[in-house]
Amino acid sequence: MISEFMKTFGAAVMLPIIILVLELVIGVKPSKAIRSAIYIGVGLNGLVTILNPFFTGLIGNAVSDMITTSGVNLPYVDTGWSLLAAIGYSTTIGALVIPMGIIINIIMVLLHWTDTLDLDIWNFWHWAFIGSMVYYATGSLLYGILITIAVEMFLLIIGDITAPTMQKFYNLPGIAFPHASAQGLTIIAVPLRWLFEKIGLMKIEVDSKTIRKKFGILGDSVVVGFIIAVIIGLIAWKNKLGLMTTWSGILSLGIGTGAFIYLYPKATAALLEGFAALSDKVRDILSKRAVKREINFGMDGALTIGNPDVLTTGLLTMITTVPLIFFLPGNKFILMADLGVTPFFLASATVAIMGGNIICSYITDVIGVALTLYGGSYFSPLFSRTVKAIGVTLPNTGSATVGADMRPIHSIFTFLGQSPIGIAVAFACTFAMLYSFKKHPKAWYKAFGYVDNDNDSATKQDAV
Amino acid sequence: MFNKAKKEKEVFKEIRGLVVCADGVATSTIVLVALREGLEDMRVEADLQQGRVLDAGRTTKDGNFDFVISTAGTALEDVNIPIISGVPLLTGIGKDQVFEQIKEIVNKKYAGR
Repeated sequence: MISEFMKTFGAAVMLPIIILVLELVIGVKPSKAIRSAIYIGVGLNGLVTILNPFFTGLIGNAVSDMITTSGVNLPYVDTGWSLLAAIGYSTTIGALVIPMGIIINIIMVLLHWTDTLDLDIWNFWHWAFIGSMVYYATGSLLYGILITIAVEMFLLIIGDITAPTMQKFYNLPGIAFPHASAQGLTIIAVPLRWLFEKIGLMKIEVDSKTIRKKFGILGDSVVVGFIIAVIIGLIAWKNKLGLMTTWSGILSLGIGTGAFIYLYPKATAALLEGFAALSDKVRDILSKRAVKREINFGMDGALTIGNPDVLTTGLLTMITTVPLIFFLPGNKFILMADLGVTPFFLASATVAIMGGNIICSYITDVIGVALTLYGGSYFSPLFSRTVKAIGVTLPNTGSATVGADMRPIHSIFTFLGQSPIGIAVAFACTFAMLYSFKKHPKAWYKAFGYVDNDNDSATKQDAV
Repeated sequence: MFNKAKKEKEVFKEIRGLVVCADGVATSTIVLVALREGLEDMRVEADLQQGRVLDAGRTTKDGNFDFVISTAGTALEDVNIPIISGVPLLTGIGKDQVFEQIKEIVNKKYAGR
């Protein structure tokens, strides 16, 4: 039924209503609730308002031309995580995810299945987004809800396992990161760390500050976005480079892309400002009642991004993304709006697991971006179908299509959610991980990069 | 008369802060909203700007800011003004200390006037 309303009213009206109802139910002051609901609508509207002219007028044409004139097949243009979040919250699953997510988290805490209480309510969108993609792919609300639950459980447990490593490395005691993007590479980083240790790569140390000083203006995602757009323009219109209008087109495309990357987050900020009233209230309710035993509070992986090693790894990877987009075999996805986001968030848990080793972190992060490009290539058609079904009106521009920035965890779970076997696998792996982790916690901590300086013997004992 | 004027001046204390987080969007917005409400209660007129942690040095250099509040670590390079951790405003634990720190900065700024 919600999907029918959604179709009629559009997400920019429905999402505020859903949030408003939730806020009133948990006792947010009505005036505050109404204001926040309007802001959410404004943010969502802002996203589409900025996205549409960029897509129809600029990048859409260029990408279509690039495909027809040069055969460079990159039809899916990244529209950024904000749209993913908006989609996540704009479905039946989105309406359910906050109460459901909190209840599941509390049950897991009570059963001692997790020591993390996730106060980062906004980022429940990752779970809802994955669930919504599955829902719209299969038409089954049950599959969607089940995979939403599986993602949450998986991330809470991963949050527990990585907590000692990340708390120590980032000096954030009492905090865990059950955040889908920050943990996007964790399960890949662990075997890679083992490999890097075997081949001695973990021993090579590079000073991150000296690398970072060398970036200059290339450290700015607006500048890198400009460069990617100009390359696309050059490929698209390579037969007409003698004309002055072509050059005007290429440079306008570059500036337009820079403006898009710069302005888009401003609309997202309105969306988040609207969300603040709800997340504040939920946090107050939860954190007041929670502290009966030692509990970590779940937070956004953004808290770790200021670390110099994360910044350096993210920057190096962001630059590397440019050739990856054009030369990665089989890639159809242009990472654009999230250029300055994805490489940094994927570095979050990774850098801590690698103990701050830049080379190892960088290699892992590049693999992560490559996987994200493949995820985007594979899931963007489903994403654009979902966007349309929800009632966010986006233009049609030839062969260019809105694409989803699918980070590894998002891809894996969206894929698994589409069949009963996949869902069973997701739960089986999650429970197997939980069981083994509870039996040998220290061995898991160690595998995930925790170095226990004070008490080495205990670690060895448990690892047997 | 004199007393009244002094009181009014106290009401309109102004402060300029830069709120930074990883991408200049998500957690900084939550901190910004919390700050705005808290400072309103303290009767401080706050001019708050949002930004990315990566640009903190560049932004504060010629921005005439009184302080930076960051959710992405407090060891920021090239920042020469007080840096406050914004994490307590996200978790709700230690919130009061954050406002104490800002109060101090406000008092310092207005100490000589």
